Amino acid sequence: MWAYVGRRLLLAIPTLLGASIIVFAMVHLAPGDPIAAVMPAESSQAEIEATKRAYGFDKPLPVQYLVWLGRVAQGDLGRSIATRRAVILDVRDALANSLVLALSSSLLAFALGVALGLLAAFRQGRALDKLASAIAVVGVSVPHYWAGIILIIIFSVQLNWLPAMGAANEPGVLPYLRHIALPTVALSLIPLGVITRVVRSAALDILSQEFVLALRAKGLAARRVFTHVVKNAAPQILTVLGLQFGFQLGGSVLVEAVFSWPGTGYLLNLAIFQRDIPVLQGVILVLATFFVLLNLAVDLLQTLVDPRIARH
Amino acid sequence: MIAATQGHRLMALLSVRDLSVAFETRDGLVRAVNDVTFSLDAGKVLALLGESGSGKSVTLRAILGLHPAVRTRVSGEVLLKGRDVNRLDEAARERLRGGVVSMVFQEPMTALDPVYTIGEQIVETLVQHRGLDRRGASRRARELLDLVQVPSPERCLASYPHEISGGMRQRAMIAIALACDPELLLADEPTTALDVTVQAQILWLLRDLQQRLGLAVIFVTHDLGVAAEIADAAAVMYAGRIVEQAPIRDLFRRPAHPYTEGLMQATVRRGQKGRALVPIPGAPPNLIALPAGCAFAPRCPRAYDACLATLPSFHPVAAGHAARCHLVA
Ligand SMILES: Nc1ncnc2c1ncn2[C@@H]1O[C@H](COP(=O)(O)OP(=O)(O)OP(=O)(O)O)[C@@H](O)[C@H]1O
Ligand code: SF4
Ligand SMILES: [Mg+2]
Repeated sequence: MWAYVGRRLLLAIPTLLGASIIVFAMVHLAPGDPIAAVMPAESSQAEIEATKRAYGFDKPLPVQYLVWLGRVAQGDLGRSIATRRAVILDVRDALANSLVLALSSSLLAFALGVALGLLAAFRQGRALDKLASAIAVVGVSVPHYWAGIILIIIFSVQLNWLPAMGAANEPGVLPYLRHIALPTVALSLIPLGVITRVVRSAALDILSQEFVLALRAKGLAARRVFTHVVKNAAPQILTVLGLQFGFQLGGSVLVEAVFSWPGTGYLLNLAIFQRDIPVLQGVILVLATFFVLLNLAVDLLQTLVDPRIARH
Repeated sequence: MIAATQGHRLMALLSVRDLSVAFETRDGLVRAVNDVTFSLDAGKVLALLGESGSGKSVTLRAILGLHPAVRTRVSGEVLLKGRDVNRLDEAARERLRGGVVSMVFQEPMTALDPVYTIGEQIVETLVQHRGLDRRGASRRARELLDLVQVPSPERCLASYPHEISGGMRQRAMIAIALACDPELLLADEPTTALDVTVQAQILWLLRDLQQRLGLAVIFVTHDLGVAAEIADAAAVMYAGRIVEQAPIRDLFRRPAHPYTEGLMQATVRRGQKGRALVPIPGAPPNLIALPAGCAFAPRCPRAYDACLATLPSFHPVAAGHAARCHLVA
């Protein structure tokens, strides 16, 4: 077990290095001169050169990479070209906001998706199954930013129940919940659809296996059989939950934009439009690291649930 | 046997009457079991013979009331100790299963839950049916593994199914089936999936347990030799119907149905254990479109006009021996 954990941790290092190279290279390959974008139009060539030197853009790329990586390793992601604030601070605040949103929408999607998926599987072919499938299809096919706009129109504009924009300014739990409610619902639709479908098919797959018949043949109560099925389907369910949570962290760009929710997606959006390369790099790198760690956590959780993975 | 059925039913442990099972599929109604009638006394062994797809497993599942309510039509009576499984609610069926009747499957690897230890799988049955606490149930689980002659019970209890050998898995499966002292054991080809050397051990274990515990057993097999050695009586199935039923010696000495004769000729007699049934030329009928007459007619060397026109009913051959064939009438 611990050897397996160690091996998986070692495997994560090259993945992270690869991600850092891609992040670094991606920005340098992208069209458009980042310096030109931030300099006033009437700047002299000398001023431009000076700024380039200050940011290290005059050195060869591998050197730029190593210098950058060394700083990143110490938690220094540079300063935002646009705001001059330390990128790490911007990213940290945005990450916290995104995490909260990802958590709330994931929790909603997990709870509903797992329940719907299991119910659908155990009621296969009946009305409840069809309803769950319909919800799943709607969930994955409606674009979430569009759903966000519709939610705003209904609950903010028409009914005036909930705020449409931003995070709460006043302190307290209730204002916070009121602000996060709509983005949470909008963001939970896709994972709700995906989770419902995956959980349903995972449970159906287990239900069709002979041991379920054998469990019933020895007179085990339906409730206990249910537990067996869930435990057998757990690795697949955990995988989809982990992946969906990951997507929630990175995939909220548009929804955060629609609701002006100050998360990483919002920051990423801002950085792209302002060609703010240090911020862009910082956000993507932090998100990539998150994905890798999350995958690792899911894998390790799976070995805890399914004894066959680690022992073989 | 048929004549005796009425009076016999009251005392038999299991009495199946006009049992039919049909599955609604996209292609049509699959009539897997048709008007099956037989009974079994406590402590007796019935061999259920017949080629693949003849409805043996579906019959066993119907005895346990395991067929799903949706898209499956079950009719007829399955009286277990006088109670009709088809009329009981699910809670009452759960009490019968395990406690009165239980089942051993062909492939223990797929019939055991892969993510629970053998111990957990025995204990949960005892906790539910016997109301034992974990301690008592664990003790009883150990005894059960001794009963099925597992050499190191403690290790087996702590093992997951994939960690032990096929023979041990089948012993564990038998231990689970016997956990709550059932009176009737349904064994669906319990040795077919095992190594040849292990097959004999499991067979003798079952034989020994049957005698020591006074179990009634329905033993599904493709192996006539095995049937000859362990069964008191046999029922031969073809296309979802029982076509011949007899005390085991009678069946071997005087097979009355041409299908049974075909089986005998294809394999032959006692002492030839281990040889599977050699198929008779031709294929069994489509269960979606069963013929009006005898389902065996297309393959029967002795078929004549009447066979195609009318379904043969059961005709007595001797005491307790009957066959569904026009020639016997
Ligand atoms: N759920 C189902 N839906 C549709 N058809 C089914 C279903 N279960 C069984 N059948 C069909 O019923 C017939 C009888 O199946 P059964 O499993 O009882 O055969 P068997 O005698 O046990 O054969 P084998 O010796 O191969 O185990 C087969 O043709 C099978 O395809
Ligand atoms: S009824 Fe006719 S076809 Fe059927 S087994 Fe007897 S002789 Fe053959
Ligand atoms: Mg079968």
